[in-house]
Amino acid sequence: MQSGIRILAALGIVLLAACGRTPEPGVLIDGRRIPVIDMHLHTGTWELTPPGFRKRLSDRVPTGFKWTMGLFVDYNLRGETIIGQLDSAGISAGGLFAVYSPATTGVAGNEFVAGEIATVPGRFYGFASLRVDDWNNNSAAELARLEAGVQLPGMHGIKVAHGHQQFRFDDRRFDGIYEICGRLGKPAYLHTGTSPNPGTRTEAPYADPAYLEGAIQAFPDCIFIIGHSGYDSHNKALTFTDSAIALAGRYSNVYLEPGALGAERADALRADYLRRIKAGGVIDKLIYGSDGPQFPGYVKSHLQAFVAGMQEAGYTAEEIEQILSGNFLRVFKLPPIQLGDTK
Amino acid sequence: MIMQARAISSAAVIMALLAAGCSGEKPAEMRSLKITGTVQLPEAFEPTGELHVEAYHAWTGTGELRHPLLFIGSFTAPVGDFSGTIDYPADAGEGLVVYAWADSDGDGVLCTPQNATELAGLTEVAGFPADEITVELNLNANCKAPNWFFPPAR
Repeated sequence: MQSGIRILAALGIVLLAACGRTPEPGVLIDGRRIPVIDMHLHTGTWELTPPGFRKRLSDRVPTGFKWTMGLFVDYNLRGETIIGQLDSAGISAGGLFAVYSPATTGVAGNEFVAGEIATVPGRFYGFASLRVDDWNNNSAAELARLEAGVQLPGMHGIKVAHGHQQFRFDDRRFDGIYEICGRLGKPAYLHTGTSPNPGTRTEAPYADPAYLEGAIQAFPDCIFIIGHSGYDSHNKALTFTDSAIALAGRYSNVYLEPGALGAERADALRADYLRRIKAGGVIDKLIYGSDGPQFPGYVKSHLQAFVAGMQEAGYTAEEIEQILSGNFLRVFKLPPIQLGDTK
Repeated sequence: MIMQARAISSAAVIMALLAAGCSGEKPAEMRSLKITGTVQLPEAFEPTGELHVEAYHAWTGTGELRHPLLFIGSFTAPVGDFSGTIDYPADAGEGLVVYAWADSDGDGVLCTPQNATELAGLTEVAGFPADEITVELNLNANCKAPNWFFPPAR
């Protein structure tokens, strides 16, 4: 009986996901289509989601349906499902992150991510990661894991999340991560700001990218992508955004990403954020990402809100193109996207 | 037609029962822990400001999700001998680690890019679980987080 209900629920999810019409790729700005890359996407499994994060996800679901969460998460975070979300949003490609955050958001290992990338060739750019929770004992093995991870097929960069992984930005024991970044030419995406996920460190040394300045100076060959641009999601504020913009303005190896600033939770902040980016003269440093897929339709609504915000703030078509794909292609040394070649 | 109506109403009843049904989740049982301690500071350090005391389970979880340092509670006290109580969920982890740092400049943050002089220390507690513990903390490391000290190098 229980398994029958599970199968029905799974079928329902699949049918709902298959209902959408696939639009033309890109977004239409001033009469021309601009290609989009969403550099910030997550995969994973329910099995490797910690109890606190499971509860946060399940709290969004009516009590009697909580048992469906495992089924939903495993389906929603598969590579092929994510590509369906990108297609329905007109997004050509996405960055897919490995994470090793056992205390907060869980584990999606490098090999697992490489496997998901392989299911949809040419659509994902992978980012490898490493564990940092027993660094006094495992640093050499973990750095070796990272170095091997970034060389797996489809991997283009590094992903770390200091707040989720609970290590300070100014802890120089972790410089080996940035050394690999610079030596192998694999840009490093670093989650900054806070997040509402249980267990996340939200104090400034884990959230404010200003604490990273020593590492940024010490590793000029490493490109640092300041994830979320210091967005203080926990408090719904741009608490650390000026720090992020200042670093991007000051250092040629620092870029920004606006993950979750297109979400409904950030509706009241988006205009101010985009005004600060423009005033800071860092449009050529902003690389679009959403922090999806979260729930069906999220990557699309995030993109629509962010594009509308840029238009309202007076960004030109050329500036919007830089942010939505041009800056990513330049930083990762990739050829231009020909719209229509994504299938 | 009647069969169809019955099927729809049955489905609606099932959906309503599921939406309102019991999850089987029980609220976590809470326990109290009184932490009493003394701090040792370098001679040159003047004991002013607040001491931030944080308690962690040493380890929690299983398999790939097993990790050290599960935060379970905190309090503040004047720098010096201290005492405070935390309430924490029972059965969330194993062992106990107490960490503290002295907020010398009163900004509530352990060091800034401009001030790297605030002291921290950590001790692992033997004989836990318990309702009361006494610890001695040696604050001897500038700007260091709990994971600087724990798990220690084997």
